[in-house]
Amino acid sequence: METIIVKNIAKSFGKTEAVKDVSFKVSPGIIFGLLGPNGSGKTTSIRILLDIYQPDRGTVEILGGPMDEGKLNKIGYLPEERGLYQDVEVNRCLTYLATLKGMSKEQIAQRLPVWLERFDLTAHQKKKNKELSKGMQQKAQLIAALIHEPEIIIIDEPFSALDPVNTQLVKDLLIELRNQGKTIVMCTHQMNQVEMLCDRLVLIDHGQVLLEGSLEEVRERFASNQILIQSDNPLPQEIAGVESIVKEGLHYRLTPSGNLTAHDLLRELVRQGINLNTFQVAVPSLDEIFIQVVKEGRNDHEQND
Amino acid sequence: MAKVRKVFAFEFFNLISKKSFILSLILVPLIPSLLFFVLGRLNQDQTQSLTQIFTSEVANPLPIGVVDQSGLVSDYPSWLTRGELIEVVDEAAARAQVEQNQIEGFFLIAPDYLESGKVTFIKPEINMVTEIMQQHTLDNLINYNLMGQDQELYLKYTNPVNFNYNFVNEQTADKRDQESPMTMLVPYLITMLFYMVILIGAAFMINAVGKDKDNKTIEILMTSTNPIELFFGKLLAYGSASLLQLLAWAGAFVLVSKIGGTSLSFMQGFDIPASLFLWAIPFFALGYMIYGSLMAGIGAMAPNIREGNQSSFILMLPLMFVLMNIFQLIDKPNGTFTVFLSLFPLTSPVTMMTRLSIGQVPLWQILLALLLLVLFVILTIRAVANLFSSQTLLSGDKFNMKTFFRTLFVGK
Repeated sequence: METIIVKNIAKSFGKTEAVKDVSFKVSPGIIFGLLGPNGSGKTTSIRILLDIYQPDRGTVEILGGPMDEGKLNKIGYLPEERGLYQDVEVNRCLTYLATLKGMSKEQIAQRLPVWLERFDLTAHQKKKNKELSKGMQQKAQLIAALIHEPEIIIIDEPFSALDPVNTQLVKDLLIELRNQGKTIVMCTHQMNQVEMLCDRLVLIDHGQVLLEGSLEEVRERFASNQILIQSDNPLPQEIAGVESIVKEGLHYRLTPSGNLTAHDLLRELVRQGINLNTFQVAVPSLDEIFIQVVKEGRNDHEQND
Repeated sequence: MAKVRKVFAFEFFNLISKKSFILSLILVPLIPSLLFFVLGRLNQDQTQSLTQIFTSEVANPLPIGVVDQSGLVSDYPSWLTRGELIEVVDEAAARAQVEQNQIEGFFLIAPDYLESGKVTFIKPEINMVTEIMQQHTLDNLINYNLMGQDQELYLKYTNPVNFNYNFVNEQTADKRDQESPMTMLVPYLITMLFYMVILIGAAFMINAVGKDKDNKTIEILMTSTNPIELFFGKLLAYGSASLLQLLAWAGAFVLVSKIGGTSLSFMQGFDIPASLFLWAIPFFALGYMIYGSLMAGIGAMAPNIREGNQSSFILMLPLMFVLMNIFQLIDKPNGTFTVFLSLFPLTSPVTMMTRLSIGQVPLWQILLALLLLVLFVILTIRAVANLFSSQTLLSGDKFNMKTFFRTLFVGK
């Protein structure tokens, strides 16, 4: 059973249509990437999901039904704009936010020290939030989103301001939470993180879904027949069955013609005595897919306008 | 309700543990207390008037000479001059007496005084306060002499009517001692105190809502509590903190008046009516709820604290109007204008306190004012609830007073 079902939601602010038609489903135990360029309607969609905004059209089901106060307490949210009381001590601020999520004082006393320790913030818990570095504030914000052990976690740019060590810490944590069966919705512009972490994704722009599926499905959909090779020798000008040869840094990008398979091409290169260091099927990166889909979507949008 | 309590607890303890709040709680009453304490010590052995304390230039002030070249002033009665003015024959003698430190300075009445009214005051040092008083005494002396040195006529001229008041309604009778400076000072201070506390409480609210926006915590809070719970939690928290402030300051005010009353002549016999304390809490609470709610509404709509504070001025105008008319209100505590302002909900929390600090107010007027306030509070909170929507709170749009009032009265 899906934990989140978003059906054809739409939301306008005055004359601006922030979300036109967005639908997606998220199952438990996965990390779901909610992607899109700036101003695409991601934040508004999340706010509708969280019941902060009421949609003009469409429905949202959370944990099998409409949102209620009990379900709100089962959601952990890390918003795009970080929000901690700057003049308040870390400990006190996190305790307050946890109590609003329905945690008792005993539960907080038990769990908060563990989270502070995990994020290496124990020594800073008496400091005011404004005295913390951006990275530390980001970690404190993550604690606020996770301390009440939510079933659904919605995180917007979770790696922002984190150094590589802390980025790895958060990645490990997200994988751990996914393995515990939590539903994680992640918004990020860091496509490499999406490739590494997300099981499924939806890409939206201009308030509409442009792409949805598992990471493999998306990649397959955009896979080309191009081959990347690296060789010590310069390649000949022409290779039988190859339409074009383009040098890209240390690599050559070969575009086979007709029905030439990767296997056939490898055999041909070996036959010609070319010394190969690497030979790989060129799979488009998520970055490339993102750019391509958004560009195509915008062209369609302009034509429709 | 549980979340209102949680918001209340966090906001209340967060505010009262702030150094600035604790300092204001202590310093505001401490400074006047110290002033009165010092005045009390100075005044322990002799009963001086407040005017004397502030105006005595030296321990034994020297008299001022009067050189009359017009020949109008020939009698210097001591009951009028109190030894402050003495006759000197001519200017040269006066200058010599100044140099010999026998007089502080001298008035030179011109020979054509009756036509020109010209008097020159010659004095080595300037003291604006004492000079006004010395000139006043000279005015009296000239008037007395112009009236043919007739003491009875002069006294009749200076105090022409002795009113005899017969009060129809004993309850609203103005039996104040018009000579005592406290007659004006006490209502003025109490009005100021109420004005300040309501204003500070309302400012707390606008800042509290603005702070959630500036700190970007508002979005997090919206996923844990609804905007109305947040509004009530804050309203109660800052109202309680302001009430604490009011009680501390009012307590200190009473204490100061007691200390001052034992050592300062001008404060002797001064008493704050007990009914004032009884009614202060409901009038403060309801007044705060109106202004606190309206300010919270501005805070909800303005994109940040700075813009919110800039826009809040217009809502404070009714309270400022009371302050602008304070002397008229004190002068006529049961006049139509004062009674109207003490019943009108936007001005009654402060004006009723002014009236109660002066004396008796008919019970029906107090109860009517409270009833109108309660109704107005309900309407205000319902109207402000229109502004406390997630959409408004998360909007970064510029503040617009027209939209504010439209949302307040008509809704979204």
